[in-house]
Formats: sequence, structure tokens, C-alpha cells
Amino acid sequence: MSISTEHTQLISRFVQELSLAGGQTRQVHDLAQLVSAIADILRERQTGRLLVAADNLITELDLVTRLRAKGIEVITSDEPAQVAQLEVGLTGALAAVASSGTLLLAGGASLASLLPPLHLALIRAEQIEPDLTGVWPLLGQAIRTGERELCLITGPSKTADIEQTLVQGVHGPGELIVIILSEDEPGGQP
Amino acid sequence: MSRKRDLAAEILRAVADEQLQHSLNSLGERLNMLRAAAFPDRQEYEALRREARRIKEETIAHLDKYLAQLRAQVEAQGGKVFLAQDGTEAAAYITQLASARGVSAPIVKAKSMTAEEIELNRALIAQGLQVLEVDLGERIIQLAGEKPAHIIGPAFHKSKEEVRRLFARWLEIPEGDIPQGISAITALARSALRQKFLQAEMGITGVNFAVAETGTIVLVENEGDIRMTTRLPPLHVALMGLEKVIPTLDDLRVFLELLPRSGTGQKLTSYVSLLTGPRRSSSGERPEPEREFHLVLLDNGRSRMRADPALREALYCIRCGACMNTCAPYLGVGGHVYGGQTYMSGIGNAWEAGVHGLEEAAGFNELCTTCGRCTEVCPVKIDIPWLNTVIRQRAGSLTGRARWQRWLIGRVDLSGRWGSYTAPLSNWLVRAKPLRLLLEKVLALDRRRRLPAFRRPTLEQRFRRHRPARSDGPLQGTKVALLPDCFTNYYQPEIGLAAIELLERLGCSVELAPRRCCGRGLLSQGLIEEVKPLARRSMETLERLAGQGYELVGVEPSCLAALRGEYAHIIGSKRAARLRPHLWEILEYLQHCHLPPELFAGPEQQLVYHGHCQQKAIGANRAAISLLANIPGVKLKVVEVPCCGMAGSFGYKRDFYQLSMQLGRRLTKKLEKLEGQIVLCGSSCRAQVEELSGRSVRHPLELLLERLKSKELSGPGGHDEEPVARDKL
Repeated sequence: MSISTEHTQLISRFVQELSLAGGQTRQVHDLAQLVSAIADILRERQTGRLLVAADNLITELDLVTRLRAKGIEVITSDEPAQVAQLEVGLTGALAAVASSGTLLLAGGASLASLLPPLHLALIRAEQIEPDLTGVWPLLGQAIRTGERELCLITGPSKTADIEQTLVQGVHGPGELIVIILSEDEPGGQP
Repeated sequence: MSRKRDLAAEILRAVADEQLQHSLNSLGERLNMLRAAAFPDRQEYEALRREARRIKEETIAHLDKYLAQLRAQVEAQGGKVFLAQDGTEAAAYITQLASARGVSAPIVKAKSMTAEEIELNRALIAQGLQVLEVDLGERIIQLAGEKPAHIIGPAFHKSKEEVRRLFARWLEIPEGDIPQGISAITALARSALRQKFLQAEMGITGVNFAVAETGTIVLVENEGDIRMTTRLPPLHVALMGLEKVIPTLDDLRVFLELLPRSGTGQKLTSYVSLLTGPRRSSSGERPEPEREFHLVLLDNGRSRMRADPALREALYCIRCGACMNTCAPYLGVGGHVYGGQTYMSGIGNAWEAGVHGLEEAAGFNELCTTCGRCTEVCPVKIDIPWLNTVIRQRAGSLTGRARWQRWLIGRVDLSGRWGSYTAPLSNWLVRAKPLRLLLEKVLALDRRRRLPAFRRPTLEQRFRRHRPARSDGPLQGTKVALLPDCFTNYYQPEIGLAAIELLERLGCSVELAPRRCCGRGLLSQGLIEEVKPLARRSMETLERLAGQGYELVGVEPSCLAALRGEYAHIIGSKRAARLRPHLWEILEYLQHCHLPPELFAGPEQQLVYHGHCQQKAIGANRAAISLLANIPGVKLKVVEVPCCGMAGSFGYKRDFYQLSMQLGRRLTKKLEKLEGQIVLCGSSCRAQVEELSGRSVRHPLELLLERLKSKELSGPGGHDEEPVARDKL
């Protein structure tokens, strides 16, 4: 089964909207590309360390093992003072919204998506919904099943409080890069 | 607690403050453009607004039920809920909590207008606690010892240099060591505040929405300081006004579609946090202390507002700031002058009256021109001009002017009748120095203003001698009654006649409706009771004409705005709604008739157009623009500024003269760059722009008539004789 036209359109809308909100995207098509994309991003930032938040997709792909195999030092801390020292945080997401370029994150991802200057988020193309209405059932279900902390994230942290001039990265990350994994075979391994 | 204000002096200072004027001008330009672009689909926008309004009406109607549900849900999730009757109770609860938990590190506090309303920081600091505002704008405001000047951009009026000075004092480093670039200054604040977040033992936030069905509080922001404040310290206190509750998560989605787009034009802000009860402590290697969540529900006058038939509507406000971004007086003086202790701009009147008392609102209420453009951009359609008219009525002489003074200014029908009857003597008299001094002294009408000249004969008198123009135009069989509003009748009768001739040449059979003052002038003065008899007479006349099959067409947008807007409150919304489909602004009517644009085809002509505020407020501006823009040969340039600054009697008032001129100059600066005929629909706009630009200013309908006539005269095939034939009839 290949990615449908509908999904291709959703991906491109998401990419476009997130870019308007100040975020970036990378598209990868298999696990090998994903691992190298992350490694490249870390190399550009001249860091070998990566904070990784607990997430189903990351677990499912066994990403931590693969990143470590690439020589990346993976940290899975929940200690704010320690997390604050790191340059890059990687999270998954519960879902994404094409019409606004938004990610829906659960509480487990809160520190990794907040304290490091760069927030990397990994989603599957199939997780992109057309609009807020599309993610709403999932959001409601998460709250009703005990998820106490959810966050809709649309672009990096920003402010226009000094002379109405837009600056990215005032308290949260100044950069947000969303890596979109669109495999030909859902869940397929390379 | 109210303070004695010298509003006139405050206005003069604000108008002379170059930094403030620069900030206000760019704020207006930037945010209005972004907001407009964020709602490309008008139908979707209107549907969202209707739904949002419905939800707010439902929630406030059954507020106790939803608050009880919210409380039960928050408690079921392990949170604590405290209902504070006023600011003192709220501050006492929070202080006791901080002391019981032994909070010693500075409390990190995110931006909250509700906390500003009760001056929470001051109360906590008085109890020996340290409170650090962490939103960048609020940090600047706290260091400056000021109040927010805008509901979402509290420090927009501060220059980079002021911020550098304030940060040097805060961080105790020489000013020379504070970087020059705005990015670098922001980075400095980031690292200084980051340390405070990591050490904090308590965080305080406001609340944007609280979902009753799940007990979820929702916080909307761009910087990430709210996420830090709620995530890092083990103790989170959220302070919310009672009105912030909404019933369901589905309702929340509607507001999330509206709030960021209305405020900053963003589809969503960077972060929207949805927090349900205290976060579970992490069970990692180093167990965290028990986490706590306290929700403080603040009444502080809201129950009183809810019981008040007028002020109740203000509780629907979601505090997006769209109303102030579009408000001309706000964009002229800013929120410190056009505002009370906490809340600013149009909607600030009702909030100040509700939480700080009528006297506080009376201190700045006169700055509202009641134009209604704010209602057009309000995501919950709050009728802000009506709220402010009611407050003006209640404030009475608290605003510094007696009822009789208001009455004299408001009865434009009487002054018009007297002035026209005695013209030109009256014109000579009102231009003579002694009378101008008297008018300034007694009615506070600025003597520097050129008063419009009374005209004799009036439109009514001219119409009696008028012979209808016959035509085989496309509107044959349509009956139109032209409304002779006081401004057209006594001051600009030629525009009324031009309207009649234009409609006749298009084929309409036109009558002049009996003159009935709609009461616009009195309404602007807050004299609601005095308008009622006028409104009843107007309605009876207009209903009779509508019953006879007449379309009711007017040329003065401000009078139409009264008939289509305020009348719903004065004579009842059902009765007003029945008449509404028959009431038209003239350009709106012509556009509605789907006339072929070729009718007005003619020589190349550039028209420069600026929409009248009330033309925009009644939704007739887009029609006017599309009508003019589609005419072959017409090149239309639309100038966008909030207001010409005249706004009826506003610009004639002594206290507002400088402000009115300042707003007018923003418009004429743009007009200077454009060649062509300036066309404006409102009589007060025309007076202002003529005075400021020295250029000729006309009503667009005059140009339409000219184009129509020149076409008939020069058109092919026997049309030459037609005007002669018409004259014989």
C-alpha cells in the first residue's frame, strides 16, 4: 500500500503551515534515513548527545538502540536541571494537524519539547489529520483516559514583546524540526 | 477606588509621545492585517462566531451549573478549588498556601489580566513573598512599575532602549553590557529567567478556558513561560475569572479556532496547554515531591455583572484584543489613557464598570466613538458600542458634562432646523469669535474646528421643487424612499438630491421619506431615554413606508447604523429585525441590485476610497468597494486606516481635538501618496479630510451620477434628446 494522494496533500499542507509558524520539516522514507537525518541534525549542532522522551513510535522503531549504534549518546532523563543542559530533545507526538502545522504532545514529552533549544519531533505521515476537528476525538480520549498534560505545539517558542519584533526561542525552543516518516509499507522495516 | 483623572491632559501627553505614537501605529497596521488574513473564509468565520456566541450565552446563563461541574471534575482529579469573592480573598488564599508550603524561592508568575485586576503581585509582595513575572512583556512592565498597555502585548509601547535600561537594573549589570540586538536582549532574559524557573517552588498562571466536563484548564501562549510555570515547580496555582468556564471540549475547539486568529492572526499560538488536575509525579530514579494544583475561582464583581442586563455581555469576552487593535481612539492614545485601573479600550469600559465601579469607567468612557467596528471583529460579537452607550447614560455627569450640555449637542435635528432656517445669519454667527468662545466654554466644542455650514434650502425644501428624472433604467418598478437624515438635510442637501437623481436615472421611483431624526446624536451622548420618543416616531414612519413596498435607502452610514444597530436595544430586537431587510446604505443597495457595471462605464478615473467606520460596522463597506471597483474605467484605491478621527461629534470636542487631528493625519499621510478623487461616504469623514488635506472630497454616489449622466449624453443612438424630453415631463 502506498501513501495515498490525500496523505501527500496533508503532508504538504502540514509542511507549509509549520513553516509559516516558524518550524521546519524533514521527510524520511525509512528507518535508515530517519537515523541519518537525526545524526545529521546533531552533527550540525556539534553535539553528540540527544534527549529522548518516552514515546510509542520511538519504542516501536527501537530508535534508541539504533541511535546508540550510530554513536549518539542518548539520554532519557526526567530531571529538569539535567535536561536543561542538553541542546536537542527528541519526542514523538500523538497526532498532527495539517491546517495549522500543529503537533499534539502528551505530558511525557513535556521537558524534551520545552527545555532544549532544539525540539525534534517524529511523526508518521498517517498521524497527520486535516484540521483540529480531526484530532479532537483523540485529544478527548487522551484526557478521558487520564492524560493530565497535553500540549498543542505550533512552531517554536516566540515573542514580539520588544518593539513588536518577532524573536524565536524566548523560553521554549527557538527551533522546531518535525521529521515526517512516510514509509511505503506501514510499519515496514527497511 | 477611583482616581481623579485629567483625561484631556493625558490625551495631550499621549499624542505628543513619539515613541508611543510609533508603537501604536505599527501595532494597528500589523495586527489588523494579520487578523484579516487569518479569516479568508467569511462564512466559516461567521459560523464560528455564531457558535462561540451561543456557547458563551449558554454558559453564562447556567454559570452555577458549569462551575459546580468544573469544581467536581478538578477535585476528582486531585486538584483543589477555592472560590474567592474578591481580590483580597484570592490573595490571602495564595499567600497562605505559599507560606504553608514554605515557599522561599521567587514565585514564577505567568501573564494574567485577572491577576492584574486584583493586583495580586502587590498583595503577595506585601506579605513578604517574591513574585517574578516571566512573560517577557510582563517582565518589562513589572520592572517599569507600569500596568499592561495592551491586553496581549503589555509592553508593546516600550522602546528597545527603555528595555535595555530596565534589564540593566534588573540584572545589576552596566547598561553598556546589555546587547543591542532584540534577539540578544531576549536571549539574555531567557537565560536569567531559566535559572529562576529551575529553582521555583511555586508557579502562578491565569486561565484562558476551563472545560467543565473534564476539569481541564487551557492556557494559550507563544513564549513557553506558561509551560515552564506549570511544569517545573511542584505547586501550580491557576487564577481564573468565573466567566472562563466553558461546558465541553468540543466548545474549546471553537474558541481555539477564534482566539489566536483574532488576536495575532496565528492559526494557533506556539503552545496551547491542556492541564487536567495535578501532573503525576515522575517515578524516575529521583522521586519528585508530591505535585499540587490549585484553581482559584475569582468573582470580584462578576456575579453582579451577570445580573446586570447590559454588563452581562462583557462576560463573553475571551480577551483576544481584536477590538483594541481596530479601535481608533485606542490606537491614538494607548491603553494607559484609554483604559481604567486594569482593562483598556472599548471593552475595558464594561469591565472597569463591573469590577472597579462605574466611576472608573466614567473616567475614560467618552473616548469611545461608539462606531462599532470592534463588534465586527469581536469573535463573540459583543455589542461594545451599546455597552458603552449604557455606561455613558449611567455615568451621567460623572464624565464631566451635564445632561443639558449633552442634550444640546445631541439634538442635531433642532440645531439643524434652527440653523438652516436662519442661514446665512446662523453661519455668520457660529463663525464669529464670541459665539465660538461661548460654544467652547459651554459645550466644549473646540473653537479651532471649522463647523459645517447650515444650508438653505434644505433637502426637504429642494425636493418639493424637484422634478423626477425619467429613465428606462434597470430598476424600473422599484420604489425607494430616501431617508433625509439631519446631516444631509441641513448641511449637504446636494448629496441627497444627487442620490435621488441617481436612483431615478437607474429607473427607481423615488420619494423623500418624511424627515424623522433617528436620534444618532443623542445616542452618542448616552441619552438613551431621550432617544426613545424619536425612535418610536422613526420606526412608525419607516414601517409604514416598508409596508407600502418602499426600499428605505440612506446616505449617512452613522444614521443607518443607529437604525440597524442600536434600535434593536431601544425598540426591541424582533421589531428592529423585521425592518432591517428594507434598510439600505445607498452603495450597498446598488450593489444588492446587481446592476451591470457597464452602466457606469466611462473615462479612466482614479478614485481614492476610505471606508466610514459605521459603514464597516453595518457590513456595507465591502459592497461599496466591490461596486466601485468593478466599474469599467474606474481605478479604485482603498486606503486602510482605522478612522479619519472625526467620528461624528468626537472630533469637535475640545478635549479630543489633538487626538482627532493625529488620527486624521495618519489617514491624510496615506492619501497624500495617492492621486485621484477622494470619495468618502460619511459627512464627518468628508469634513475632516477636506480640512486636513485641502483636497476636494465627494460622496461616491456623486461620481456614479456623473458617470451615468455623461454616458447618457455621449452614448450612441438617440440618447442626445432624452434629457430634453425628460425636462418636458
